[in-house]
Amino acid sequence: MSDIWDNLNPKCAMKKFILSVTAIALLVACSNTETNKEEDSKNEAKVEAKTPAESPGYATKVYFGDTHLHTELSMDAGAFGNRIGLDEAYRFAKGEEVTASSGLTAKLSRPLDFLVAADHSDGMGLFQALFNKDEWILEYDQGKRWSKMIEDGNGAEAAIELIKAFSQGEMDFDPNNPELQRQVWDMTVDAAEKYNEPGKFTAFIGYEWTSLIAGNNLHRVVIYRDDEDKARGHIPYTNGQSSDPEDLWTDLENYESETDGKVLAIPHNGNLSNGIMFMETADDGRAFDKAYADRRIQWEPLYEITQIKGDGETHPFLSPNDEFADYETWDFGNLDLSAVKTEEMLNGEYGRSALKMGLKIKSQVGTNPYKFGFIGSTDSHTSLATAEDNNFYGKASNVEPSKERWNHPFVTSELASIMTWQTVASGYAAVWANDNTRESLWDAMKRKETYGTTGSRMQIRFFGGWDYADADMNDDWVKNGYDKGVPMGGDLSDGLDKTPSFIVHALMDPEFGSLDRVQIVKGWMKADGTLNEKVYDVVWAGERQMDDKGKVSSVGNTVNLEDGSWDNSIGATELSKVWTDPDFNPELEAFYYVRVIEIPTPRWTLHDKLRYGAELSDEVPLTTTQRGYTSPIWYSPK
Amino acid sequence: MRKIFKEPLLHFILIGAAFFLLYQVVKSDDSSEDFITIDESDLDEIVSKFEMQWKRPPTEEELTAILESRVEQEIFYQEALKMNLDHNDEIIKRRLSQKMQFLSNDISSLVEPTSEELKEYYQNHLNRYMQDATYSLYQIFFSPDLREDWHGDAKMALEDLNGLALEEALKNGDPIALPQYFENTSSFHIQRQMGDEFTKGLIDLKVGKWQGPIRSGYGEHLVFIEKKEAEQSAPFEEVKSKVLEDFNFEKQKEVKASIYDEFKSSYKVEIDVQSDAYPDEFIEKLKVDIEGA
Repeated sequence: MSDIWDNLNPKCAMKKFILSVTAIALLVACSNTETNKEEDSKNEAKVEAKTPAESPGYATKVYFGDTHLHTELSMDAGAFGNRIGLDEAYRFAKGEEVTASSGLTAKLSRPLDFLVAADHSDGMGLFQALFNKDEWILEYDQGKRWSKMIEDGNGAEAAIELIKAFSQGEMDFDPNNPELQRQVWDMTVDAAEKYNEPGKFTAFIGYEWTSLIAGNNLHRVVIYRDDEDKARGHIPYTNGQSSDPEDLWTDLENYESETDGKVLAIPHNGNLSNGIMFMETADDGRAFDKAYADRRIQWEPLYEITQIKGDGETHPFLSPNDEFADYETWDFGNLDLSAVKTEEMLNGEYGRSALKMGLKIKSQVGTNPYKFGFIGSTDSHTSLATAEDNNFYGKASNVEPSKERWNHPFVTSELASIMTWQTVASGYAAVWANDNTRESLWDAMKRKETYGTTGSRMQIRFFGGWDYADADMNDDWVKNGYDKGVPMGGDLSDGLDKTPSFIVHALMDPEFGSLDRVQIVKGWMKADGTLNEKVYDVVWAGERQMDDKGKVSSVGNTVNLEDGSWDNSIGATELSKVWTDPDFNPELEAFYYVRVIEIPTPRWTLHDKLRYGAELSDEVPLTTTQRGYTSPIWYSPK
Repeated sequence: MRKIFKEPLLHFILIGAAFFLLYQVVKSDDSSEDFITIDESDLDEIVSKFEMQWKRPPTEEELTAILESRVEQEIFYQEALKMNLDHNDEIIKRRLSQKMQFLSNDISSLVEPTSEELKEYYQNHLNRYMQDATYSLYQIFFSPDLREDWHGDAKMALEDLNGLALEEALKNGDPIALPQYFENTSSFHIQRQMGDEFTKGLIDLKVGKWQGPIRSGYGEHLVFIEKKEAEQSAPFEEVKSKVLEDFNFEKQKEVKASIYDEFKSSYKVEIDVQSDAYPDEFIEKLKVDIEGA
């Protein structure tokens, strides 16, 4: 079939070309054949995990990373012009300078602590097959057409067509060729093993399951806790096999029972699902039962709350009393814009509304299927995990930094279009753990001791309990937090005659804007089954007073649109508070999570304007307010 | 004459005749009978590919059928090669040229560097293998959240600080969720926690007395450096695995380029464009860029 892929495996190629290899080796005068025996020590060093000398028994460090990055191995990324792969992706995440597909050099302001190279399982290696005009693919009209388009330099158009055909289930051929899959999966696993450095940098083995039902996005990123000995043998599950998340869970179950390994899945972009990411019935229409709810929360403990294709916390239609609800929301349609958005879809698309819906489903079936925590990630298709506005390499390689990229259509259909300026430089996953290892970070994700940010590395702590007092903030407040309660992702129960209190603490990212305010978002279900939410301003910068409606006024905007500078003195470096719920009812199910908002700073579009002279239209926002969302703490009467 | 060439039948006859001629030429070069051997590794390969696709082994009938079509493909392939049908085929060209490139990658991974080569590479790129400066230091923070003039307050506090015992001195300043003491901490970790500005501010500070204020994204800091080890090159043994990684990464690129150059040196590339459709300057530039030295 495809010999080229065989040759990506050096051993394979060596067998076939051993003679030529020798000849050419002589040719290039690599006469030195003495092998470096000490090289073995490299592998030993890699295994040596660092255990902290003394561990207090709780998470002491926050690690920042991206759980959702695509390389050239993703069909669409390749077609959009991504020509750099796993090596560059990892080197970049570790802080090295690399050359991006567009030829620009790229480097992170600070290295990341972990990375999941999550290439699409569907069509793994397909782009390379199209690019190379593999014979089997030219047997199909679509294959011929897209190969031709790529050859003619219209890869991006080919990608869009392919995404649309794939979204609509209108592919002439099965994009999942087992031989290609095997080879690409081997490359993925090899690279993760090569770059994983326990104690310093974690490279997770993972992939993206790209489920689409009539263009509606049900994507999940799958992340293994395990090393290659377990994960290599299990070929990633594809949308070609099934678009139903329940079938994905069965596959994950099979993996765990076959290997004794551990794996979890993180859904993303409910905002492109046209209401079907978070439903009140299963995807086949049957009413939820306990088994469904149990399985969903077992396999999907986290939700990707923010990323380049829009922020997913909430929407002004759902949260009319939340003046910060309209933050980089995408409410145009589904992934391929084959169907536009209508208001009744929104409830099934956002993190906050799903958390509320979960309380209701729990009252019906006994388990909350949407009891998830939050992380953010990029979903970048450039092999470059960039989420900082002043260093944003875009959604895909065709929109790497340039004067014109803002005005480039991201998706268009007859119904609507989304422009590149609407893409968001967001986000990162923050994980509270003790060690930078696959095990330690994965376990923290599983217990939801995580938060998502829109790119800033602000540090957020959140504890809930029954006995916190102001004095607990004075000495070792982190220890007090753990000793007397639970961290983000945890549970409180049995609150009769008691009132829950919370420790909340936020420290700014010294390279970003200072902090405007810290809020606690509460959701609860009344006895009559209605769902409610309220946003409390808990602590804020400066001398502002809360008005009689419980709101704190705007912090202002100091961004200088001529040079991109701003003044941190209007915000706070650190905000903390012990907060007690003034409206607590011990008989009602509830959740609480923290939202931290920074002061306004330049959006990536302003940087493009100042650096490249981009001539932005008036509708393009020039400033943004970075934010962080913690995993909730849930309250249950029993 | 022109008309004749449009006749499909004649085409077939001419093509057939050409094939026959070619065949004769090739045949006369190599009159011995060709062999196609099928061994167990071929069968194993077919079976395992079949299993990957169908999740079960093939039946004997299926295996036979696949084998037959393989033999057919192989024979046509061999004959096509003999007739040079691979020439001037864009897809085949691209494939084979790509194979050569993969080959160069294989070569670079095949020829492992010696310790000497690695050390030389390390010596030539010492700036890439710097060991970060490490510090043991105390810092006192002056918060813009709590003060009108945090910079001024920090300056004022500094005047008395050096006369005080360490414990007393540390009672100054404002609380913040940052370590007051960093013990043997690399500038890499200090930068992650305190930001770029603070870390750069440390470089010029002296050991053994309170100094500052230096600025960070948080506010102003007074700093007492207890111990400092300046940035220096990391010992080879400590960074060897990274050196090897970088060496291989670069080697791969180099080998590819040198193979290409080597091959290219035995070719003469000539730009021969007469048409006016292309500007002369462009053609001149092409000659410089493509024809090369």
